[in-house]
Amino acid sequence: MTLLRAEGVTLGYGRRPVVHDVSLDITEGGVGLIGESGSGKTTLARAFLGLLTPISGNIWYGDQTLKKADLRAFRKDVQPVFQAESLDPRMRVGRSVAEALPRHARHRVAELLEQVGLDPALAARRPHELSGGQRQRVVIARALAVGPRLLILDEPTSALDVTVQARILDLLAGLDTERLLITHNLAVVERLCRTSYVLFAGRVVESGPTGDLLAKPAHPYTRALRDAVPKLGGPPPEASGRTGRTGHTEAVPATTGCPYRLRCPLAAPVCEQPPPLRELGGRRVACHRAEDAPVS
Amino acid sequence: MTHDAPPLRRSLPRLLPDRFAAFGAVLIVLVVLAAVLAPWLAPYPLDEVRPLERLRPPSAEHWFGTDQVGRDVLTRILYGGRTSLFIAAAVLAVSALAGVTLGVVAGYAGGRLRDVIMRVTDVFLAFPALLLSLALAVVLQPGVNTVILAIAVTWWPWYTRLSASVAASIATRPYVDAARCLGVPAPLIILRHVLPNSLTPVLVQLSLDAGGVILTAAALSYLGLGAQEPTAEWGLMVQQGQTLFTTNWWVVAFPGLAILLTAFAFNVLGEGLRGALDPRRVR
Amino acid sequence: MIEVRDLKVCYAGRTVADVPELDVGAGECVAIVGESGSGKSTTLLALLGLTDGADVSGHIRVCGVDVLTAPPRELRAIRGARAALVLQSPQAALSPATRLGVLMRRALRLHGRDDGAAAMARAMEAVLLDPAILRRYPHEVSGGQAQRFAIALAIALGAEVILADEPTSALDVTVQAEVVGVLRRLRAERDLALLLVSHDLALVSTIADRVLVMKDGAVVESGPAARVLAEPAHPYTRELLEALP
Repeated sequence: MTLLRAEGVTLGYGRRPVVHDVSLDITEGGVGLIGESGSGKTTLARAFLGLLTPISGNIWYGDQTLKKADLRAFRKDVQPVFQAESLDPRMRVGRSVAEALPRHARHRVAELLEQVGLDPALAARRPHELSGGQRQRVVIARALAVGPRLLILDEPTSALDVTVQARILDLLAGLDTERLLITHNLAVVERLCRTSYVLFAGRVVESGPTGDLLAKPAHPYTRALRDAVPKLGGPPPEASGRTGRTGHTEAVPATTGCPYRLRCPLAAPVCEQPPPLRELGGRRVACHRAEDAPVS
Repeated sequence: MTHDAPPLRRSLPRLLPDRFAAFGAVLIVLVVLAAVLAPWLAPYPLDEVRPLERLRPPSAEHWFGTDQVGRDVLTRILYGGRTSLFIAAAVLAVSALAGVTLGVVAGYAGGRLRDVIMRVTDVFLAFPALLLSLALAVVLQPGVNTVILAIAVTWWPWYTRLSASVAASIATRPYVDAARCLGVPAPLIILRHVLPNSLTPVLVQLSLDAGGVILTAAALSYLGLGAQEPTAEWGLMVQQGQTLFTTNWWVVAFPGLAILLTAFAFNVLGEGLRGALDPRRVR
Repeated sequence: MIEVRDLKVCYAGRTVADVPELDVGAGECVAIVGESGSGKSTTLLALLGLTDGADVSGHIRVCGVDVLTAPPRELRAIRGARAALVLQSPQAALSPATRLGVLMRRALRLHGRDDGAAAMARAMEAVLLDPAILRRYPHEVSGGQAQRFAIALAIALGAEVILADEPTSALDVTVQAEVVGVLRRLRAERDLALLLVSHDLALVSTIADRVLVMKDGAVVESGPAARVLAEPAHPYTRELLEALP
């Protein structure tokens, strides 16, 4: 059984939902949640962390909903790793890590810092006295302090330099926790997640094994995302999709029918009906025209 | 705003090149020193009345002249500074303590608790400040303590407003979320993370307000509702000497100048602090 | 269009950028690649004389103007008009209470260019933006639209050189692809010289003719993009390449 899963979760701030009816299992081997800004991925992360209560649907922690679950146990099991800027700017980083520990275990700060590859002497520094990569390591050490079984990683490397990014990814890959990785960066998902979900306008548009998903995207949006990533020495990144006077990707998600249809090169009249999330060749996809997609 | 205001310590060096602010700071230090050291600095005992030397103009013996009962004006100004500064410090301490506590709680908690706190605050803000102070001062016994209470009652809501909005923005920072995910209880989160990170604008406001409180206290005294004879207080001195302004200007002018200068110094320092702590000036 | 020799930028005696040679001709795209603190952005700013408080020495010519010795008036005429700067987050640089169209018209008037509706619409269409967007306020457009508006502004002002500092790193990949597409097309159609500062080697490899790799203020490697990326000579370039996923 999975430790944490979302079942038909709709989320929002105030009345307007930004995540619609999402079901997602955090299975073994890492789960990736891919989406661009405004896709609702961070909102979903907050729900998984118990920081936001669903408007409808449930977050299941084991066999209990998060509302009824023992929060102390939950907080021990599930920890976030946000961006490096998630350290209190006024607090020495050692104290930030120690905050997670019970009083008698404060001596473990040094041990935790070493575990993430930092000199324990850095504990006396404040965040602005560390480099971005060091700060990110402190954030990871803080999350590890309570001995979590699952890490919710929200763009853990996107603010870092590439060489630093690579080392942080190595560190994350070496941890024996389960993980939900939220990112816009396809390469990171490929490395850390066996399964992936693609989110568009608050809806899961495709999910399945990460390798398959990126090799043979079934949803036109997944394909657009993949093709837009520049490859070393490759052709200029493709802005696939419909071209129009306003420029295609700027088209707002449709509020009725398929949310992607205003940008979709395959859009057809049928797309004015909301596409169900259906099984297709070992994955799930929410597209009426997935079968008509060019093979690539 | 995505930047955190830099901690005060790192801002101080940047404050120094600001000549105005430095001037204000020096002035404040001088005023405070003068008030604290009044018993040693004052050329005459505080209440020494010399009826024969009434209304002497400034001279070598009495630099600032003497008042209508023959007291040395300089002496009274030095001692008066103690009263005025004490009133300012007390009002600001009470206002900030009450205001910031409520504000930070409201800002962090949000929801209904926030609504309740903010509505109560609004009620206090709805009264014209001076009028409320006046009413209180009339009902209660006039005196220094009454002045403090009367002004503080109208002053704290501003601090609630200010710190609530700052705290609400701090509460959305990822480090606060991280602490919540660690299961840190809300009061500790407020104390450890929200409060320290909300204080910078409060400090600036305190400095800007000090002048205002001194002026308000002087106004209340001037209206006869504040400090009473024989307490030395700047506003009271102005009030008592007002009829003499055309004939014996020094009785009014020097305490008036003291009020003006001190209020000005605090304002200049506050503006300087605001500039130095403004995150937009961080490179 | 850009010609740099022995450029040194120092802050308080510390050299933060040292570029012996940098040339960008019309229709060319040159990229400066590096990580934070490499001096790549400083170099870009120095080209327009925008490094306040720094000691800049060497020789810089942009659009035929000697940046280090030219009078301020001549420099202002270059900046923003013939040589346009495009930043990472253009929205922050746009006055929030002013419609984009008003912003553009003011800039055009300031530089004595054609500020008619037709000229503005042409510039917008050159970057694939609907001219109707000119009626919006900065917060009403997306990051990609704002970035393309910044480029449209440069086009309308008759820019011959675009200096872009991480122009797409705040954007989603699909939007990045579009902005890059616009830049490539303008370069081909208008013979625009493009100096691009970026941390993204993969992106740079798809559009730049030549690359300068900077680290800690120094240029560690430079040459044709294809050569530098295929046979990196410097260990740091190799490290950068290996870090790519």
